[in-house]
Amino acid sequence: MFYELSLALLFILSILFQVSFIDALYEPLNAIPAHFIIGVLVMHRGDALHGIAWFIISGFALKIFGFDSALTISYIAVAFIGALLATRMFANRSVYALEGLGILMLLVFILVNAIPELLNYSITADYFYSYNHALISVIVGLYLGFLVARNLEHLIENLFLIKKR
Amino acid sequence: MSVLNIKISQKTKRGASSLGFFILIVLVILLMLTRLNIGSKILGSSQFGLITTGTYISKMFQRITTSEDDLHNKIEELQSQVSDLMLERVENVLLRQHLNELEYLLAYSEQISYKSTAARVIARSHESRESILIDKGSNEGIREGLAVVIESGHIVGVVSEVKSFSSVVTLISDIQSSIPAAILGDSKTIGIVEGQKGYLMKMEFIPQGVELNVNDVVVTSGLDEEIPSGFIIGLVSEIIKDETALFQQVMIEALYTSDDFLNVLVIDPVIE
Repeated sequence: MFYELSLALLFILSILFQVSFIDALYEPLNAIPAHFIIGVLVMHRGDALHGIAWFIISGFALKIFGFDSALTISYIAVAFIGALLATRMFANRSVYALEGLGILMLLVFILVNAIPELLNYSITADYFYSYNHALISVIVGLYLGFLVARNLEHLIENLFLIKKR
Repeated sequence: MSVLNIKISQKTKRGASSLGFFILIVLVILLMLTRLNIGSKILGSSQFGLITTGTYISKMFQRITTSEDDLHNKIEELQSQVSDLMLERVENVLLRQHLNELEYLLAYSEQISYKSTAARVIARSHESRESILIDKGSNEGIREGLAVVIESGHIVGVVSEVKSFSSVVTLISDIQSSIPAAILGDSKTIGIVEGQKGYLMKMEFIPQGVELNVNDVVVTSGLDEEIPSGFIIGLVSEIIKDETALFQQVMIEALYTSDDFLNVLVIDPVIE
């Protein structure tokens, strides 16, 4: 229960942080997908089911609290493909697996989001260029997030005397 | 084998209930924040705090990255504006005397004032659309099409979407924005100011014969019944004149960008 409650609060706070704080920053800092990065961490370090719920609800919640031009279907696609990748391809809990998962999930997100433009033949190189900063942020953010998550897990294990398997 | 099956089914059941619990908590919090009055106040305040901090950091970052040449150009530009303003000030003193007399007369004939609602900016779009989110919605009487101004009477946008406790404001520089306007030059020229990609706005279909000058003031014309006349849109920054064309067009520079304000007034032209 404590885990689910913390996760729900983290979800809401990260959405508010994304739409109000990060989106107000000057370019290229406003391209940091903080909420997305935390979602990938939940998907990989936590439970894939929670990861799926995280991304699906994000598709709706980001539009309620702020501005998000991404398609809701991209979040749904990222949720299911991400869960599949997290359990089949990147099940290893190393930082490399986490980075691989994050980059692939972002690519899926970008590609699904580009479908309307691709169908209208209106896509330009600028569209993909706009995600350059997001890609770099995901790589750096996931590495830092990995360090924080690992230390947090150690702290909780020591605090609550959880036996390691 | 049966022990293993029981263990797996227990694990699946636990996972499903944990997931359900997570979704339930998130939905309850979302509903509380968007549907309850107190929830929307907490949400508005926390979003306002975050956007204020974000804007402050953004301005600091902008100041650090602005080059020295840009600053010199800006100073020169401001100095020329100050000298222009000095001249205007003299004219203003004379005009104010005239205006005072007219105001007294007007006050006798009718007392009209617009209803205004103060709102705070709680989110800003940085993507293809130039929009802001304000913390007042239909519960405070906000409706689509109303003008949004900042304290000095400059129109910054128009309400384009209304929710219970918040509203989306499409800024005048947005590509989809179009506002009936008038250029206050030697003669009053009426047209539509449209946003476009980039910082400037444009006004098209101005007859060739009309004399226009750079720095002429562009204001709302009042032709849209929801947007009163006289709100400042910006200054004419460039006049594009093609002798072979029927019309000329002007580029308009807004005096404020969306980063320059955090508090706005929504103007309702309802006569109180």
